[in-house]
Amino acid sequence: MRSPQSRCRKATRVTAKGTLYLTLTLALLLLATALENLRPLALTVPLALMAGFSSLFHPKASLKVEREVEKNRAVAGDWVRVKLLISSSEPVLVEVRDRVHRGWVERGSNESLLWLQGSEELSYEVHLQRRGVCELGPARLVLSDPLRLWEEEWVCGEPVEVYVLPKLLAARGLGLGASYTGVWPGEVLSRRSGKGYEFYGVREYAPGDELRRVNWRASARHGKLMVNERVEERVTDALIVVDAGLLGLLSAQEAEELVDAEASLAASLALHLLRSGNRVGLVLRGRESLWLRPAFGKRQLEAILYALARLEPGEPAPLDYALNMLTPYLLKPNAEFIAITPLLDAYVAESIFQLAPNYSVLVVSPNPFPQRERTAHRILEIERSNLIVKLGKVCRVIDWSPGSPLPRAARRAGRPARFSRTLGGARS
Amino acid sequence: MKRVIPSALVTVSWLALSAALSYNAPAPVTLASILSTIPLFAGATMGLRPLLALAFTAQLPALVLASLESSPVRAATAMLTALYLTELADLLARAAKMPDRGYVKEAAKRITAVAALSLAVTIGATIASESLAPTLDPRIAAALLLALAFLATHWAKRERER
Repeated sequence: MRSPQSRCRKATRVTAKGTLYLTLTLALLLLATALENLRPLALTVPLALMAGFSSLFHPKASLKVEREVEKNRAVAGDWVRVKLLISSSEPVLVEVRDRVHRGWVERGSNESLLWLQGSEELSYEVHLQRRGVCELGPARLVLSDPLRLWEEEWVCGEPVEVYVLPKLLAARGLGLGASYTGVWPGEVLSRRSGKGYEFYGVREYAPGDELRRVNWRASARHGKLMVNERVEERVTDALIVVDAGLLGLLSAQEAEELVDAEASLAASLALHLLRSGNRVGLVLRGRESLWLRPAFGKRQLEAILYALARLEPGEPAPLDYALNMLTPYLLKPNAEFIAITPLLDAYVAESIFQLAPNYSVLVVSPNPFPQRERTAHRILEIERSNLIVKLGKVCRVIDWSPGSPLPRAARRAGRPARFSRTLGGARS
Repeated sequence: MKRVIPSALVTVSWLALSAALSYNAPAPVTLASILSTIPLFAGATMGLRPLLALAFTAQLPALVLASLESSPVRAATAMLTALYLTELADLLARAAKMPDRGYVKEAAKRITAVAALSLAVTIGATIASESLAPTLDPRIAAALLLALAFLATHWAKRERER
């Protein structure tokens, strides 16, 4: 993938060293004046001459930069190869630095000192360790005189964005308890009999019924053929809410790690739900708030993954307000409401508490204080535990330590009231 | 640490210059001059350019003293040598943090050319000015040089912008 061609911006300036040369010259002149002695002036001669002769080597060249990035979408932990083709109209000494934002250059180098005769290629690989948007470019090229008293900085090329999507986790074992179902076959138990796996009841045999469904014991008891009925499994709507706000209690790195875990979980849930044919929507609360209406398919999955890649900790607007206003608008009653929140905000817990009677609510709470020793964190952990207990009375709450397997935490939380097949579970 | 041998050569030359400058100089000046080799070497090998400015500043008292006590040609040559060595060390310092593809060699050639040209003109200019020196008022000379430096800077800036 080549970056679009764009003109280079050029700026000329005196360097710090150039200023030091000038300052030194002035200082020596002042010294000579103060001492009323011309002898220190001899020291200014080489300074002036070096600066003057250095200016004679002033480079006059026209530079061009083309950037080629291997891919513009990756998963956290991937590598992306970048090639930079730099060409000059004349031989010139140039210092090249290609900007890499949110990525580690581990193979090759994004900067180099070049004796550029014609064109040169600079290639490197970026390790995209974390979810987010990695920006590559623009390239900064510095031309200067030999002593580098002046420099001419060229900024070339538009930045290329590489979306680093969240890693996917094993999100099996989370039951869906939604009682709202759509018309398409899925994995959520409906109130109707039909094709499925869960036992619904026994009825009299009708022509066309499969023989393998005949319940021979019941038939013997009733004296006529009886068949087993199953609960029909259908799709549902789900809204995933990711709370990346109010993380000021954590350090920047801890907050980012927590949000990474939340994004990974949301992406995994969205993938499983969409694969099962459900409609999935998304509400994000972070530095930028965003919401997506529930929809089917790959395009929706892509939209969700891109939105999660952009998620950063922060709090522009309170989530409880968004939840109260948006949820009835986005989600049908009795559909699945999945909140991924560290439960650091009592107002968010209160909003979920109010939504619980109208929806099948599942709260997955990544623990932001695993093995904390500080008293403040212990107090916060106790407050969080209280919120979990309070919410546990109206919905299922999974207390999850990021890094540990989610299915184990889900088993501890128990099954939903109306249990259906696990997400992507038993049958896959 | 990169390019230890070139850095060591520059440091040894710097040490020799320090020894030459601080001969018969007062102890503090000698000490500062000799000790300036440490930041010079550290700056060149580890890419810490501010250390080079520190090394040059430590060498400055010895240079000023040399200009007051010895001939202008000798002082100017010493200054030129100090500048040349600092520039080479600066080049090595820049190359310590970045991969080099022929830049250092070419830049070193150009710095050497600039220093050689400067040396030739310095010797000529200082010898020529020695005859004028006793008759010139230092304040007038300083004002003239100041104006000259300002004009040169202005001219160079206009050239760049063009």
